[in-house]
Amino acid sequence: MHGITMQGIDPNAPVVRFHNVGMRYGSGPEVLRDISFTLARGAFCFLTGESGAGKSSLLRLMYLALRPTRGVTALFGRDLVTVQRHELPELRRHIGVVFQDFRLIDHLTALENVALPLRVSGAKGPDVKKHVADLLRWVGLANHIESYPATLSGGEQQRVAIARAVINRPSLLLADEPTGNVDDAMAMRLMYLFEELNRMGTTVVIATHNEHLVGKFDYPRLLIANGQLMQEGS
Amino acid sequence: MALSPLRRSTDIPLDRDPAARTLPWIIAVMAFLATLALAGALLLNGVIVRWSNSLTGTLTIQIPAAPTADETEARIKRVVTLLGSVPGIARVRVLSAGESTALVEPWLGRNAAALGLPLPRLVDVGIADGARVDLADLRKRVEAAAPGASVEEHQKWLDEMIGVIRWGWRLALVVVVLIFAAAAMTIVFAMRTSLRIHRNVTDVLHLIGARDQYIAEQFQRHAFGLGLFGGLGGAGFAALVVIGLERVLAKVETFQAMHLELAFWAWAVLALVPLAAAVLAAVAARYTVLRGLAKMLM
Repeated sequence: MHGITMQGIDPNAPVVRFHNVGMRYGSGPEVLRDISFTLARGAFCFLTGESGAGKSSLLRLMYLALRPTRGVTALFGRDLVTVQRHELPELRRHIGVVFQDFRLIDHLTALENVALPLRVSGAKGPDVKKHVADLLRWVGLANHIESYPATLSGGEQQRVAIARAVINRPSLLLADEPTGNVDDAMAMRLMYLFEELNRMGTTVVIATHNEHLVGKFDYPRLLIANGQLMQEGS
Repeated sequence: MALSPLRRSTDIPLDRDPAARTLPWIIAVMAFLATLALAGALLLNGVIVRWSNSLTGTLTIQIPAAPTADETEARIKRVVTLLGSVPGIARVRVLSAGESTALVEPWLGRNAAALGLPLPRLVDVGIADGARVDLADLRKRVEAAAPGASVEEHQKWLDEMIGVIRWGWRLALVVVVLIFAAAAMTIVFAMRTSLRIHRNVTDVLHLIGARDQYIAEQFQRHAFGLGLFGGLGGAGFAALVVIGLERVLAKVETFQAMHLELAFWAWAVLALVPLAAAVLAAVAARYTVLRGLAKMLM
């Protein structure tokens, strides 16, 4: 997709493999302890738990914003201990992230924000524009393609963030409360988008508090409490 | 509606930085000083080259005025005859009394002739290329032919003057280097600040797969633009100052003999200052940002 290759990535390996992973911030206490789980290619799961349980820290480890302080972490078959810094961008291009705080770039329009992953991976051409605009229309932002984030509502910003995360058709999609600011109808529409991606082979992890939403789908869940995984799904 | 996801030159809002407002001014001041110092170095270099070409291989014999004009003329004639017999002397020219007076006009004014001062007469002597003249022997013979006459060897004076000017030239170049070093350090600090300000954006870019080079290129392009803008302003203003200075000096008789004006190629060198400022800014920005990014994230 868009010139991105799977260099150095084993297509048969689990997309995510954590074994006895622990993590602490600085010299503080461990916020994650003995985390072990595996996500196969094409898996779909919810990551649930109370606020402060460690969901966001676990997601940060998976989207390569942090390194664990102990244990083994592997993405796409690559042991992250052996991955050099210059190899990280290539791995990250296979991961789509919906941040809880959206993290849109203020001075870029919705269209430019969504196009960013394509831009950094060197994709060019008229197809790119059409593809980005189509996706924004699909998430209900046809009238906001040239809008700046500051002029969008929370729910609209969230949909831009989701579009940015999926524009590359990532191999792994990590979404932190992706339906937190939208109404039920839009939440279901976004879930169908994630399912569609999942059917095309994307491994999807959705961190959410929304038990109502989780209950509507028959997907396994990773339940995290006090930094420990209480229930493993694969 | 225009759909152009690739239209922006930067994903990072660098033009909103405080550094974006102040850096061009700082670079302009640096470029102004560097251009002036470089112009000074090039002017001095021109003087060195001109003097080396015009005064090498010449002597001046100074014959004091005798009690009578006839006796002065007789002494000059004896000296000229003597010089004609010295091997290696290619040219002898006696400066007229009027020419001798003209040489002291810058100090005594245009009415120097009217003062009736007993000015010495001068004989300009050219030595053939590669010839060696025994100056000690020549001095003795000239003194015998015209009591009180002296032989001025330009080469020694010239060597001393060129030595002094060369020091000035080197000093000017050191000043240029120091100015550029100071500019580079200023850019480094500005870029560090800018990188901290835009940490959120660079983190997002990293997390969606941007390489450090991709981010650094945005800072680099931005710094190049600021450097070029500041450099053009500073160097342009300095060029006007140099032109004005050349015109002022051209009117001062003391400096007229030095021909203090820049050659075409020297102006071409000065024209490179804005480009040098822009390249320096770009390189310093790239270096700073790549080093800074290497410490960020994992």
